[in-house]
Amino acid sequence: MAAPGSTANPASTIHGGPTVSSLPGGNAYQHGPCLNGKSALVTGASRGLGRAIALCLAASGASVAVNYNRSPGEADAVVELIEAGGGKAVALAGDVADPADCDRLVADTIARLGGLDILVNNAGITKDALIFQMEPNDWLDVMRVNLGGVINCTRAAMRHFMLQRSGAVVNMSSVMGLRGWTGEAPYAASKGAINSFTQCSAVELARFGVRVNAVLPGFAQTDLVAGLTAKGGGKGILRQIPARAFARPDDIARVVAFLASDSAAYMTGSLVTVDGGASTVLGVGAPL
Amino acid sequence: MTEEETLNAVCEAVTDALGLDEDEVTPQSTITGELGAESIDLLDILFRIERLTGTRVQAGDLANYIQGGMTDEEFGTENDMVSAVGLAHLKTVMPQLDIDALVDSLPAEEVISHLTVANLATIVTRYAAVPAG
Repeated sequence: MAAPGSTANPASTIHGGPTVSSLPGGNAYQHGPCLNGKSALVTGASRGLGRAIALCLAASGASVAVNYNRSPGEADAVVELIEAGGGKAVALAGDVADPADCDRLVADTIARLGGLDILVNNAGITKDALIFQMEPNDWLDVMRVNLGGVINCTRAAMRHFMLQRSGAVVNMSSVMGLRGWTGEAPYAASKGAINSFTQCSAVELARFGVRVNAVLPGFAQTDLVAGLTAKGGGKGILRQIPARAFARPDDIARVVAFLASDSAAYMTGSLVTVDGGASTVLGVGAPL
Repeated sequence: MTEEETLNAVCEAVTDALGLDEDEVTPQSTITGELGAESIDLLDILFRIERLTGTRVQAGDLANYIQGGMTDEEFGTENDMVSAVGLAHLKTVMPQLDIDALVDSLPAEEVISHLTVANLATIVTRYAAVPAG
């Protein structure tokens, strides 16, 4: 279900420009970062932000391994879309919570795409609940996928990156990792941990020519936040976003592509919010 | 790759990884001792060696070389000093050490600090001779 304001939001001036899906051949990023000759692995790329990221990287010139866990049909659809646009892609199954799966994902990406230059750790889940009402293992389940996936895939790829003395890792975090929000504790804790891991891995890997950055999306139009944005037409949340609009997945994907590219050659350890100002605002409404 | 070429590659790797001048690194330089390399530096050195020589040496391989496959209990005494059998092994793999002067006085955890550039080159040569896989 599309989030309110997804197709017509006269009050919003933050959106503009074409999306990959709106142009023939998906060449919306002609003037964006160049990823020609690069190979990328995107986890959780069968839908939502991962799908948008995979399409964006491909439109920017990268060959893309589209990882999925439970949606082979959707992953294949992403591959077909990329190939229809003249790009190269493969669908690779794997559970990022399993270190052995991550080792295999990286090895298969290198074998089938001829290398690995970009790792986008996007796969994630949420189990929203008040802390008082959480199941005992809810937080662990979320951590195992969200943080575990980032750590497992980074460790799987890092030897290859360190040996070739180049690589770009982009971790998909969230503004939820910066501030508190009712009912989001397990998810928020996992994203805060991703922020810290991003910074530590950036410090350790910088000397090897490997950059590690994180993108912290606000509210984007994906299944993950559909429950939040559908309540009351999403107006309660929209009111708290200075841009008065939810992000399109492409808004997030373009920042990921930038961080993955040589245009961000001197950026590492950065936590980049893409949230329409949501994490910046101190309060809603005029103070006077 | 000859032993001399390997030694030159190791010197280059150590120099570049630690950001030193060429004349600061000699075959007798102790890597974590005199040159002050930390664990992340050692990792960098080993990856640079692999790029230069094609030989993969892992951090654990250095410990295996130093201890010669002995367990910690065999290599060290109850006081965590290198044992007599441990010293006998070190005499063969780290010939630069004055073993007689180190009896009951070399802490086991400090042995790595005596590893020289030449010792590391020897390790690389040894692993280069082992078929991959």
